[in-house]
Amino acid sequence: MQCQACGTSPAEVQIREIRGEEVNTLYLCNACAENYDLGTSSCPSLDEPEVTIRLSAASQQSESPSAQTMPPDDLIDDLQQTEDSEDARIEMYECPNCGWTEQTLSEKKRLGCPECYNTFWELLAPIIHDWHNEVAHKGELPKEQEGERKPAPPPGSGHLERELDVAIACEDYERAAELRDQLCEQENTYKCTDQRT
Amino acid sequence: MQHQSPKKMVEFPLPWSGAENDQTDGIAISSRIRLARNFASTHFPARSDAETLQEVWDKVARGLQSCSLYSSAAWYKMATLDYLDRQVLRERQLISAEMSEKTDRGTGVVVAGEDNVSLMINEEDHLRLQILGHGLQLQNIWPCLIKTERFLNRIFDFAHTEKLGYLSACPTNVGTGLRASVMLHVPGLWLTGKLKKVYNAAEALGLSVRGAAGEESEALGGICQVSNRFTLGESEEDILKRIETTVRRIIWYERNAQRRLLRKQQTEIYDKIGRAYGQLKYGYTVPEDEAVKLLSLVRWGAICGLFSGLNRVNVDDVMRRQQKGHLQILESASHIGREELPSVRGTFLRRSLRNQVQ
Repeated sequence: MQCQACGTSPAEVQIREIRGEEVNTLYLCNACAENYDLGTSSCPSLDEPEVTIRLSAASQQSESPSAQTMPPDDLIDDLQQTEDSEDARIEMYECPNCGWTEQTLSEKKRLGCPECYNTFWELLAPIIHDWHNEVAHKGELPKEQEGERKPAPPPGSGHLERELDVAIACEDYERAAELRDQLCEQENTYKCTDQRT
Repeated sequence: MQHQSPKKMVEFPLPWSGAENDQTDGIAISSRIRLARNFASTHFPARSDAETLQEVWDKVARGLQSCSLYSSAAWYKMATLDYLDRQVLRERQLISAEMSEKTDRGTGVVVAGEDNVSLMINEEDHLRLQILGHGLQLQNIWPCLIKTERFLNRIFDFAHTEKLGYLSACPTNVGTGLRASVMLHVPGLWLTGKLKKVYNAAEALGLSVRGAAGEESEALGGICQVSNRFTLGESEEDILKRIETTVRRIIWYERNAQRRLLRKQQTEIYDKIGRAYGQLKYGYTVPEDEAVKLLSLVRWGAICGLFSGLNRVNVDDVMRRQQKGHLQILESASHIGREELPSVRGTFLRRSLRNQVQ
């Protein structure tokens, strides 16, 4: 399929414009899509649409012969499926070890297995931080593991990393940047010390 | 002590109700510490089927065979216990309210020591080790509990990470998995309406204050428990020290409140205590909540030496026996309905106080 704007390059991007109940679909090449802008559209027939949905068609689709000859409706269906499967993936977000989902977690208020801490860390980090006011363990650990901790990590780095995770999960980017800088600084100091020893 | 069934425990006083070495004038009733642990390669109990829960039970049973503390322990499976058995275990603080509701295969409790050590299997977490002691002695009972935990840690692989510590089914227990509490009797703060202040101050220090019956319960008669809120970011010893320091502070406030009340309103206070005693000795129907409030006042009176022949340990024993599970067994009233319990309790209290006071 050729670009509907320049008519020379193959179409690689689909743009759907919705005006009230009317939906217009445009197939553009990458270059025309780059220049395409709402209100300043180079395409005279597409002035000020109410809503624009822009979906990137996969480049391999345009490169493959079948994609180039794909009828527009099928292409829309195909893209829609991609969109649906993205949503489905988010809804089906679950622990790979025990199958616990976000929904089960909120219903039961309990985790399903130790792996859930990794799976749902983004959700758990703010809860843990709010509840405990802390995010780094300072108590007992099994003896075997204590013996295996070699080489020794830079002092306090675990604490900073965990705090950084929490800051990101809480979308506190200012704090996250501070922590990242502290971590970098600490890492450099550690490397220097390590090289000297 | 190995009892055939939990019902047999009711004849025995609570192992932590003694008066020896008590330096708090009876204000600190008991101390309790528990640790939550989970197996690394097994789903948490809420996600486990009956077969997995049974596997956990069997694994623990095999592991504890060589642990001297548990060599003469009593093993109780929840599925085999009736309502009164469960109630007695709960009233003696050997199982939680949540555990007392469970009937799944593979869930249960192991009771060891002088009935002051318990291990709940497949409650919220795979294992919950607990130890109880009388008065304020968190730091004295801790070595025994951690010794048991280290023994188990050598034979089992517990879920943990270096950063988060021990992983628990609920994130509020992650880290040390340690929850410690001290049960207090603070009638002075209760009568002067200062309990709320204590709640707020403890909250600000990262501790929780709640009633004797656990979460959301009211501090009836000034009987409350102080426990840690956080389990992460502080070592076990620091958590215990922090609770003990706060509890000592509360005890200091309570002593001052008692002194002030007895100095300024002695007649009114003695009148309250005397009336409470009268209600217990001559009442015919006494609901449990009311019994606790009245016994709280009588306990204070006993500590003040108002009653000849009735000391604090006697009152604590009456307090234990009037709880519904104990009461139904001791009064051979297991068949009666809930609505008849107050009159059974009334009869029991009249008889107990008549026998004890000259």
